[in-house]
Amino acid sequence: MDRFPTPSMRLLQNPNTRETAPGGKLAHGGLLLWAAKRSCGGRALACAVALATFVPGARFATAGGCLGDVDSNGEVGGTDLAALLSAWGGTDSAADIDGSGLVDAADLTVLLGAWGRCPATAPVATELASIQATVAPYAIYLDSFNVGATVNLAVDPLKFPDLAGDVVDVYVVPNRTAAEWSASSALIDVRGASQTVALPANPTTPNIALTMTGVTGGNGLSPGRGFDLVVDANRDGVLGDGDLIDGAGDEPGFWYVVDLAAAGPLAVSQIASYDVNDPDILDTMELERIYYPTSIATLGVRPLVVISHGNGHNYAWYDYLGNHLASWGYVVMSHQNDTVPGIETASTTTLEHTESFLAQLATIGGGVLNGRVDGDVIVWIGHSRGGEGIARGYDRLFDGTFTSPNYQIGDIRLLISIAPTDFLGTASANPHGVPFMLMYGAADGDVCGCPDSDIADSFNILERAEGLRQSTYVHGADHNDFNCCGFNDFAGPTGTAIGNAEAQDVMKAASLAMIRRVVENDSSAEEYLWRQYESLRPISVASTTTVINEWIAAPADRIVLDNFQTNTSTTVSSSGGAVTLVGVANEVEGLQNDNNTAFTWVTTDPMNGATRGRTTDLTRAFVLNWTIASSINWTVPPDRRDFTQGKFLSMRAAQGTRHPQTIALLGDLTYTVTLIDELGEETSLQISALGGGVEEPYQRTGFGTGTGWQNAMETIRLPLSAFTSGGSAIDLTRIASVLVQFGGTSGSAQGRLVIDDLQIEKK
Amino acid sequence: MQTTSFMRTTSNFRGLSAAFMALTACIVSSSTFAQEVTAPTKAPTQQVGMPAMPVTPAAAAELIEVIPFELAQPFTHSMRRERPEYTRGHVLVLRAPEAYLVPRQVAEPVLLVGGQTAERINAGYASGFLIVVVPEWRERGADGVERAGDPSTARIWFASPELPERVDAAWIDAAAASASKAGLAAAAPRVAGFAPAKAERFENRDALGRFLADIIAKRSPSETDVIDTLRATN
Repeated sequence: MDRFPTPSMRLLQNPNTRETAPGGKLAHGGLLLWAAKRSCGGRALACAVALATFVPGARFATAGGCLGDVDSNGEVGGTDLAALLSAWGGTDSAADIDGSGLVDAADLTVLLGAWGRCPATAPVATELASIQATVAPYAIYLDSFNVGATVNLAVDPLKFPDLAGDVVDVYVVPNRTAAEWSASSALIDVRGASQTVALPANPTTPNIALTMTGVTGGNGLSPGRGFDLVVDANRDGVLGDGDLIDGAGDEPGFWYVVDLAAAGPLAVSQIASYDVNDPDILDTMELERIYYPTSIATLGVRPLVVISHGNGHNYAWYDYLGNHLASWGYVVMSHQNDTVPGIETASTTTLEHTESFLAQLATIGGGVLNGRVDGDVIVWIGHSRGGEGIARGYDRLFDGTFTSPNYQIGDIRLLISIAPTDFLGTASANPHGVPFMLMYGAADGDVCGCPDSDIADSFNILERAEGLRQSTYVHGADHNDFNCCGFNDFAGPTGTAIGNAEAQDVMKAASLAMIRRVVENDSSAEEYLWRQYESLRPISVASTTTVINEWIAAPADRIVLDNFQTNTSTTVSSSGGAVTLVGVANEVEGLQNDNNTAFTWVTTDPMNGATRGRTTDLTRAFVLNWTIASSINWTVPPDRRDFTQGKFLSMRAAQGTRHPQTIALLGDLTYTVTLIDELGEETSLQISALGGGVEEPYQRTGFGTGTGWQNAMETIRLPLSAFTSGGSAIDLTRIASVLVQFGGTSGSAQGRLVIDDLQIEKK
Repeated sequence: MQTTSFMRTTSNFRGLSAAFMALTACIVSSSTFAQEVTAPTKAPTQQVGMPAMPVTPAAAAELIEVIPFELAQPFTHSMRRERPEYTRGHVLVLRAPEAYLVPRQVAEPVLLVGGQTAERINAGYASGFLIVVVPEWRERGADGVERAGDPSTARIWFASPELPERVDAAWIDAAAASASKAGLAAAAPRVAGFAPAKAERFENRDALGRFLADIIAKRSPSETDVIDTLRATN
């Protein structure tokens, strides 16, 4: 039997097919009151969005009309009632539901009888794959899961009340594109058989663990294997009307991801050393080592990854990384780097070796790579002085002070700097708009992030980057953990060293995820780069290892609400909206540059611990503290109120090091984010729903009294779908304000918090 | 004053270097040295943590060997802003405390020999031996005649941290003045029996590199990557 009859059948035969109002199903007598309270009038799209994420196109359900849906918004509700009442006694055909020629009580009866969501006449595209949260909405819809980890299915009983309590078949189907689903709707479960489950009716326990025994991850050179997730509501083995699907478009519903730190599927060959004999490179700097898939001849052309080592390091010290990336299909070249003289010479060697390598492909290794390297897709990885060198190298391409016959600036797709120095500063150590990734150890004894030296502050370069940015900050890792053989410079507290094997696992995993994401448009592992590490980490990385992710979408993928770069008053956002502060203390907007040489907390240095910019840099943030229930309310300017343009509400946050409130908390800091629409409907989400909070500073000493190292910004990226779960009627197209609440029941009782880059991110 | 400053620094050194520093402090103050110099026979000291930044300027290097060389093909000296080409110079074997030898990204003291920057060929922190190349430089003597500088008699010292590519003649002059003001000895202390070696001649810098590899293999054999790299260049 079809769960979703035709509109006429529904009216006559299925009066219980109604959307559930908060508090449970209502009798007809309560509908008027509920409709008025719900204030759905004038917010047609909001209602639709709250019901499900509809996929554009005819194949899957859209917000179409049904009998009683006077305004054709996909729902019979308050707006329809209002339209009917305004036409009462007239002959308006739209309101004359029964076609009697008069808008009268009979039409009202039909309308009330059909109250609620229109029946689905196609499969409903919605998010289903989830992680469990201990706070509302109890299920967070996300996309990446480790092989072997629990993958949950969550059908929100308040969003799909018709299915609550029903027994359904759940299918895990190898990812199909939208076209493939159109061509075939037969459900074939990768597990051999579907999983029959009873969908929970209790909105606090929406998750059902999927049985994934025997299901493997990875797909060729991608670490992630995509699956679509289908709730076959009528249990007919076909994706049809009223069924739910996560993955209706070309992208899968979820990714099942292998260990990102483990070797990929390809055997690796290495040419340990050869001399390029390039007159443009000093004779003492001409050696290269390459790693490539042994089966390169069968792989077409593959991107090039160039590794530029740091001062006192050696081009042969990155086997772990070269072998890893080659096993995932990349051609990796590590070269001698002229870092002793400085950054200019380092950048020259990166630029020249890249050119020389591309020019000599016909002869290197007997030509084994000839025609196999995509010179239009290049990733530069640099360590320490070499990490700054690649930024400078990119800047020289940007400025036009270096040109190559073999590649252009647009061919450099991604920079990955490991603990870079910042000798050259704002104008020259600058990645401009190219995607930039920073890998940084909190126990670095060299490029230490110290307050007394701008040169030692790696985050400066990250903050200068204007494109997609990511940082991976690793507690317990030191500078030379990211190569095989450098001096042990560990400078963290006793017992916190993670060692180079662990640090290198973090590096292998993060660099692979970032390269896949940026270079190959493969988002299967993207979530490893911005989710809380407590919630998602590469399989090999120990649960005791603390890693802080920072992710800032590219300009084209973000709508800034407040980045604190302009409108420097604390009561006006950079986008021009009013900012209202209640209960917070010591709030300051300022340059993220600790203004003295110590990490000791003093009131005259509100940006204490911020080692992210020089005086010539522009990066600004907001800092405040609280000990009572407090809040910040950002009024969203009218031109930015449609949050459905994005998928996430994102902000960066860090605890202020050594501040009394940070010391008092000494743990993950949490708070609550609330969206409020123009009609006052609101939905709240405590950030701990994502699996963690804002990490406390690494408990390293030095540079003054007390304990705690540099402020480590962490991206708190909230899926907007989480705000429409749990029966929320919020209208994401008209968000009037973003409220962040601290203390009380909202999260940590006290704290000192740095906030930056409050924005909507599209992907 | 000089010794006092130096001893304060030694409190931050560890293990082998601590003892070595104490010894070196004595050397600096007395300009004598009597210890036999041999290659270390034990494995490199396992270090934990970056040694604190040592005081500069400091005449913390002892002169072990000086080997003049000539190159048939000129080579660029990239360790100073002017990037001069050279065909003559000296290979020096020095011994210095760990804190001056550990490769640093942020603040590495510039090693100066007379009026020239030295090119560090190996790291040396494990063995204590540092091998450097010093291209010939010209200096005016007390008699007003300009002649090639002599590392055997020149002051050898660690100047303040800077990127060598930013160092020029003016910077070196200022560093020298600072060294004089600090009372650094006018010449590096030498080991007993020290005598300049005969000149070596090489076709090019790569050939010199292989010669350097042999020296490092003798003085600091644990630095296999450096040795291999020098030998692989052709």
